[in-house]
Amino acid sequence: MRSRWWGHGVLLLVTLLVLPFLSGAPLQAQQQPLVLRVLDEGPVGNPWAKAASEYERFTNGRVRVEWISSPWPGIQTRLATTFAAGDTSIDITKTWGGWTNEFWPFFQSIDDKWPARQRATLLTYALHPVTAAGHIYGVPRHVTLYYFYWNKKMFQEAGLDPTKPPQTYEQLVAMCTKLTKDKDGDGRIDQWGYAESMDVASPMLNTFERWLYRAGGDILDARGNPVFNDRRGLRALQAIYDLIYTHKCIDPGALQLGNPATRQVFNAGRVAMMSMWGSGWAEAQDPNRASKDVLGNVGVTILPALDPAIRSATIHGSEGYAITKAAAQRGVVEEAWRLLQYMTSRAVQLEALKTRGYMPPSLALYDDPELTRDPALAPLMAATAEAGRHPVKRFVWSEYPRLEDAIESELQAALRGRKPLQAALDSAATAVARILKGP
Amino acid sequence: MGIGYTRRRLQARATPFLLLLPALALLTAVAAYPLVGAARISLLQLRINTPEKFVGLENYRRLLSDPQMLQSLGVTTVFVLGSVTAAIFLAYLLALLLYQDFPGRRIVRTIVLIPWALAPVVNGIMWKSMYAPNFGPLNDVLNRIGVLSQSVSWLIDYPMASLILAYVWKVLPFPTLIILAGLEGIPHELYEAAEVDGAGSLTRFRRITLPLQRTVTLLAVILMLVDALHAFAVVDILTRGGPADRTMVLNYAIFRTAFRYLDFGYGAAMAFALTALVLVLTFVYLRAQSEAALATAR
Amino acid sequence: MRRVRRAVKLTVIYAAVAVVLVWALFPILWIASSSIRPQYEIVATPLRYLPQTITFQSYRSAFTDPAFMRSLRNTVAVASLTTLLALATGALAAYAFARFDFALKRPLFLGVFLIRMIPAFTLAIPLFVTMRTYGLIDTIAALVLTHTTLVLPVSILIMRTFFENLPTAYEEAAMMDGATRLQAMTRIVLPLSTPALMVAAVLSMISSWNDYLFALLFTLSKARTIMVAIADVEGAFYVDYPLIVARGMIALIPPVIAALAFQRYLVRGLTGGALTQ
Repeated sequence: MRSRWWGHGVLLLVTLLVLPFLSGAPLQAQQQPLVLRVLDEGPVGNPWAKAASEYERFTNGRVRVEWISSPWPGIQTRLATTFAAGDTSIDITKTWGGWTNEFWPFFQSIDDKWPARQRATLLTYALHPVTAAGHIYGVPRHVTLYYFYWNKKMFQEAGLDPTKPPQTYEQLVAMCTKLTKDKDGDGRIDQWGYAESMDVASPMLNTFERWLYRAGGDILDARGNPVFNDRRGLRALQAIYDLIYTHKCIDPGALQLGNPATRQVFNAGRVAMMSMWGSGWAEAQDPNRASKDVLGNVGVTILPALDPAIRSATIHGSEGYAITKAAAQRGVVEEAWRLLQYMTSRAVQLEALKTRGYMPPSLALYDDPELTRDPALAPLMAATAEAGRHPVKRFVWSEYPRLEDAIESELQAALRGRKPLQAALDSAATAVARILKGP
Repeated sequence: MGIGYTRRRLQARATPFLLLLPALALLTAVAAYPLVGAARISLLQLRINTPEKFVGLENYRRLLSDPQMLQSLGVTTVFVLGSVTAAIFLAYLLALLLYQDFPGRRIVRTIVLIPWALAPVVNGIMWKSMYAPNFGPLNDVLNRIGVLSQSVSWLIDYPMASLILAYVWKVLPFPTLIILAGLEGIPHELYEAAEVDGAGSLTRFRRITLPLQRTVTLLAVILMLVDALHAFAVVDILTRGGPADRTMVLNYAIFRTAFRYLDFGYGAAMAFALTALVLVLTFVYLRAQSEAALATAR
Repeated sequence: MRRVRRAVKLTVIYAAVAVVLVWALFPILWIASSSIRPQYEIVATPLRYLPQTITFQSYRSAFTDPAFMRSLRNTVAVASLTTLLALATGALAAYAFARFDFALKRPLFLGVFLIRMIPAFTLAIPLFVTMRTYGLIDTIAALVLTHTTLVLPVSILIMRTFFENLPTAYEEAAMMDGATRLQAMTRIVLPLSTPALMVAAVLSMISSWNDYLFALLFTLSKARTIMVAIADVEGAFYVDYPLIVARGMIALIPPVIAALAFQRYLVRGLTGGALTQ
């Protein structure tokens, strides 16, 4: 009868339960290598993971790097759990401004390891995101800025000069309207003038910030009070709103497009201009991502002005690696530091730039003729250098996620046309003030 | 009688506990401590950067004065009721179809399970692409067959409906499977006898299937209810609670409070409040169901 | 007449099946197509449902990635152990709840179900501490225990409902003939409840397979499972969607094979037809 089947099931269960313990029996290695655990995104397309495994070979197996891969959104969840539980399994973690500000009490300060002279060889804004409470907690691995991209072929088709991207908001509006077309005459627009990420996940606050800084405004004033609802904030939000609803040259559907999707529509030739991180440049050169009409037809420059008195402004990001206090407890800070120096060396920075368009934090590379003359890199290098001459900032706070969500919720209501712009900004400012005051 | 009798009675008394032992041992070892731990956290002010502080019921009191909670509660109700109703209705249709005997049934029954097995992250990416404005297949198909003349931004204009569709599509196999298993348990003879008596298929469904399926339907409803309350991945990828908090279901709000805002104490209090609410609702629902059952029995 | 009716019925059924197949497969085929073609194609105007350029690069790179393949093996181990453990312990407990009256029955049952009612995030940190205490971080055992515990309440509830729907006459007869309780259960009740066991089994397997949260938190690199591995190319600045989707499609293969194998048991038990309520 069926009882046989049941008996086999039990036998199988017991065997399977015992198996993992058997296979996990310790194999005594001759010499235990020193293990450093790094929490970061997966190794595919990750130049730093490649560098870390090179480092293993470089040390002749004395150091083993265990790469703990996590999707980008999962890293925060992991860090929160690890630190809240007092766990010590992570020695080095990827970090950016938000995480440095949230988690610095669990990071090891590296002020003493890093003489000011050496730090001065980096772009100044590369260090902000790894700095908290006056101390340095990480080594930047690349910097990220927002740039302006345009499709030269579409410019030509629309009778515009392909060498002249918009420099002011008025020019942007004029070109954007001209580039928005219904090409096949079916009554639906199939080429939009402009796009930038407005999806929550991307996050939308960044988009607002870029316009806000170009309007001369700021999120908080020097005393820490929210001021983004002043007339400059309104000017910034109005600028975005008008592109969508008044000039109708941004697809209203862009409100549900994040950064990757924005790159995708630009690279498929559905959109003529976009604002994007440096990854926009790397993907526009990739024949697997960019259609043949886009490949080789893309220009990159700094963001156009909004307030005539301000030529440009952008937000910076930098990502880097922090050494945890757990590494200090295990006494491997020195080793971790050496690994990080290897992982952020000139050679690795070059590799990251060439393969994925990650901008190097080292100042010297921006004058390096090998790079400034490389036609695949020169425009991006020039735009980065140029952007550095204009205000480059980004709002980061220890309560960043909470503030971000509060502001974005109102921005969405405003851009969906559900709330007057000023009213949305005012209630966002009230919410921010309440959060900053604490519970 | 005598000793033998007592021993047998003792044995009979011990049997259920012996049967329960493995499951309870596992649950106690793995879950009891964390459950108590989580309850303790809900009484603390536990933020990641400050030392923990015992605040008693302060977190629960804060819940009552949090406008976000009320809003989330409304959103959750709509999401849960919408998805459970849709899922149970569709699951019945699907289960009745899969119950029929037709060549290729086994393959179809397997294919129907695929959405459930799809990785949640891929499900999110997939629906994001389906809902894409202009170039999404949903807009494209509806435009081609003439239902729409302009493309719709589904996630912006109809966020809740879009979320429910994506969620129901993914979990539908689960209630279907439960209902199908219930149908398989109904003796064929009952149908055959009814058919001989001249009952149509609708009558047979109403008179035989539905009454015998009562407990199984109840089971499917409760399990879907619990699952819908815990929907996470689909919210995280499609809307992140937006736009403007219109899809901020409680479970997502709890995640956001604990792991994004790192306010673990308040997050835990939210979770326990939600659980208490669900328990009460389930209890009331079961009560109403059994009273209705008594009424029909009479 | 009968044959005509049968033909009409089959036509209606196949029409309905066609609708169901489009519902279940169209979105999957659409996204699967994005894993074998260049990224710009899936947003092209006009929308093309069939790829113009086909490349299996993403599948090649997934299959040749040892870390990914190991995560696939880990997941198979975790999901099958979870299924067996949840089914074995769950069936015993469900039987006790269905057939016995004992002290503390209601509170015990509610207590068991409470574990499933609490949002999983709330348990994450204390559970992490527990696993660390047992030294189980980055082991398959940590995930098997967690997944079993989380799925157990639901699988108990499912099996209990179906056991209760089964008349007691057969067990009583068997016990009259000298069978023990356990024998009555394993030889009579379980075979008669194969559809319920199958539901519980598929549920355990799929919830274990699809778990991302605990897989993310409780593993480092050795015991990593596929849900974490699928998305780990999702970076802040670099996202390889074709690879994510390709990995997701590969991750579908084992559960679908398992579901196909389980199908056999989704029919009534041997003597089910003879039962009367």
